[in-house]
Amino acid sequence: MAVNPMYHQTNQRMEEELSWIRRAQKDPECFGPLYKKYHEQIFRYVYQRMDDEETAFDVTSQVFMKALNNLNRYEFRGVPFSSWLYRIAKSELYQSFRDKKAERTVNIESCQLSEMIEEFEEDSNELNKKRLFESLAKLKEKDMQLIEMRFFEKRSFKEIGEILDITENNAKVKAFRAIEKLKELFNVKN
Amino acid sequence: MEIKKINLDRKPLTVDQIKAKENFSEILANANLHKPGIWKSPWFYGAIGLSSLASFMLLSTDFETKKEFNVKTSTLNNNILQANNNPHIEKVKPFIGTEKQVPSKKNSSNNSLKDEIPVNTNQAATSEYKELEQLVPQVKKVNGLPSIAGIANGAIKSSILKDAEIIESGFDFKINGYKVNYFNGYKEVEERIEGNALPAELREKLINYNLGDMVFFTELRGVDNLGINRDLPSMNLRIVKN
Repeated sequence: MAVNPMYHQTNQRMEEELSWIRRAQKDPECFGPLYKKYHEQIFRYVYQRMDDEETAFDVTSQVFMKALNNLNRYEFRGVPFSSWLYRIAKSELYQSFRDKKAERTVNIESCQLSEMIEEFEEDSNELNKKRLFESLAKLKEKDMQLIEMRFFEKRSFKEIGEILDITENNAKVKAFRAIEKLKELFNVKN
Repeated sequence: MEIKKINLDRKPLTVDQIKAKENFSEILANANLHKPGIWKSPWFYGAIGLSSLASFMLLSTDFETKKEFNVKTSTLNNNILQANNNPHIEKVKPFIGTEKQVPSKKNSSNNSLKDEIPVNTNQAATSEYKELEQLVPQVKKVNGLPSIAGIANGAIKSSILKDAEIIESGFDFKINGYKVNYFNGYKEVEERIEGNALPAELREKLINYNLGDMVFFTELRGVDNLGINRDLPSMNLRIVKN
């Protein structure tokens, strides 16, 4: 299930969003609609990467506090406001890991595991699922974040690029390389 | 960052459960929205200090220029007096302070050549410059990046790709290997190819299965005429119809 089907917005929506941002820059109370619009998305992004629900809500609140504090520095670059929020969320997430407030966790569904095993052209049996589990645990963070965003969260390469502040092409190449590394780890166990 | 835990099939939270935790008032209350007074800003004190320093320097140089030149006590005249008192040194006229040392233009035609300071002719300067130029290796202008039929990045027509047999380089060296990522009909593949050739089979697959898509040529390596290997920029091409 795609986490963020509403990421790609029409020009009209982006203009509407920009007008909210301008108002919020003058009056912080006008940040409310933006908060309501993106709260769930940002929470799911954070909670996908940690175990504790309450900590995930805390980190989400910190993301919006930081966004509000720095709203005057925000510059519209033709991409949705959420891409800026996701970057703040990534930073807050890693800070919480460094501060030992939370542990880096990966959350996946069985159907996603099966899809990945089929991608590797292997049988989707219990043994292979276990192998894939163990292989995922050995992945480096930079590869895991690409696999999470592309294969578990079903984000488009355009969105991944905007969140990671890289080009769409680069996101595609990096995602491809991440899956190749996972395959290597998977096949070593065989 | 080490992955500490992997959860399988964790029960997701519903939209209502997440919405119930929304609290914008708390965000507004805790956000640090008060702008500090300008007097608390380090830039304020920096500006004050800098302007004070600038004023001081301006005033002190102005004072120096307006200071009168005291002929009687000048060090130069003291030295001349001492020299004049010394029988072994030729007598020197005292420096008055206003006498022009530069010969006037009216008498320029009568100026003897020996009064002029000899200057290097252009010819001498040019030859010296040429010697120096030879010591400094010339940086040659490079024409272009690795490319296929002159295209380094962007759209490439399938007809052009079909006829392109090698990856060219505008530099003074030859490409001796590269990697290419593409879709081969049933999955994404990455191939390592030695040399600069674009095999016909590769070109066929690129055209047949990657029309409209990006194809990535990465890890391009070249070797120059001294035998030194170089890493070259990648090529990202989108194959389009004619």
